[in-house]
Amino acid sequence: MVSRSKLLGITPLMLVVMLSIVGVAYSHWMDSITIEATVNMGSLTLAFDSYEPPACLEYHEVDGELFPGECEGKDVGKCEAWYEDSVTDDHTGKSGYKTLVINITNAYPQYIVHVVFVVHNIGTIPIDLAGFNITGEKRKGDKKICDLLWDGSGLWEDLNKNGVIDTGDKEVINLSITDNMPFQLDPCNKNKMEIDFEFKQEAEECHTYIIVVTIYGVQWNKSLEV
Amino acid sequence: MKSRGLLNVFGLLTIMLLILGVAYAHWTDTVVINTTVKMGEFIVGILDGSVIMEETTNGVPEEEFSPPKPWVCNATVMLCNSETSEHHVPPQTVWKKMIITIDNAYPQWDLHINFTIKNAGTIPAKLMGITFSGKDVKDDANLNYVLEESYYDTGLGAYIFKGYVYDERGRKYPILNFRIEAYVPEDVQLEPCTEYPVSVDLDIKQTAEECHTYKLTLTIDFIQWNKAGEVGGA
Repeated sequence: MVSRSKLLGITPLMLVVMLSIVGVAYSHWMDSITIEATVNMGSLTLAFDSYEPPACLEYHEVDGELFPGECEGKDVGKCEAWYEDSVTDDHTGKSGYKTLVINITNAYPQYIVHVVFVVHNIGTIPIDLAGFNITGEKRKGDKKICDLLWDGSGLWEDLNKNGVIDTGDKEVINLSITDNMPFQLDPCNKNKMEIDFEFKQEAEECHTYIIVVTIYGVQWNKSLEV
Repeated sequence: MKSRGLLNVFGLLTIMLLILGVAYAHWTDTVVINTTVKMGEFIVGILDGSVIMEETTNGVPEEEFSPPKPWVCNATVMLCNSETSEHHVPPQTVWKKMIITIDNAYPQWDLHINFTIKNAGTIPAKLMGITFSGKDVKDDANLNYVLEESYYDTGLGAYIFKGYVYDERGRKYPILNFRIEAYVPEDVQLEPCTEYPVSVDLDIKQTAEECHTYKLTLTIDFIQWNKAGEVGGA
């Protein structure tokens, strides 16, 4: 049994010890300011439009003018186009496709086909459609014969396989993209474009030409750098 | 008989005088010390109405591009948690928290914020330290930072802090560059009733990820001037 006087003696001592411990926190005045930043990043997604499918339009030329369909109303060459590799923008939830496949069969010299397609900015940042690159190869069955090189208006067979268009190579397909590049495509906006093929006399029978067209879109503020 | 009575009277008088004599034996006087302690006030905050913000892309405002696109990325700055100094005449309100919200950010978009820190109290304050925390909300991962430069520019009269913030992919993937200029004395002591300009520049990097949300918190701690040394203040 602790006497009352003893308790009275211990209590202030304990109080001093406790205050000296707690005193660390109270022994100085402090203040602070806080800067809180939240950065919500946008998205940049260029896609082929899922709403409007690509269309192949055949033409024939008479006296320097184009007329719809093949010569004499025949249906000889065939062109099919479709989109593959669907993509959905995480940010907007909008969908589109990353690849346009164009399959031309039974083509012949002077066969002209235009493929119309639509590109869509399904992201949230404006896209500068800065340009495109065209590569390809010539095949016979499964065997690769040579690369195809593009000079801005036509595709050439790189027959001497030196990677550049020079003497000895031959132009087999006129190919152009009708566009107004470079141009900006704002979010939610679409732009209709066209690839035109015209097969030349030098194109070889029973061969397959694989052509890959890559369209480059960059964030709108970086177009000058690329 | 009469003489005995007189003796008694004198005796009684003597005793009474002796008793009363205690009171009259010394002079007393007092002085009083009345102490009033008016405690000072310790408030450091962001000065009301001092925030100026500028948004640029590659150093050019979006509205000055051709075509202009001022709507692509936007930032808002909000001050909250106000505190008003009781000692200041007129009363001075400062804000304890700045909330910056950036929507639809993209690489090379920059934000420049100028504001003023004020010691709105009556006690000098010393900058004690700056702590950073950050989170990639989408990946639920912490963000870290690298302080590339930290020095006092005597020409500018300011401390310069320069570095970058990166995510869990590592230092090769910076999310944003930061540069902070704090125009404070070299001993980082903020005097009462004095204002100190600060500028913060943020620059989103190419390796920042699309559709991610980054949350960054910077806490600047101040301590009463005479205690800075004891707790490892700046």
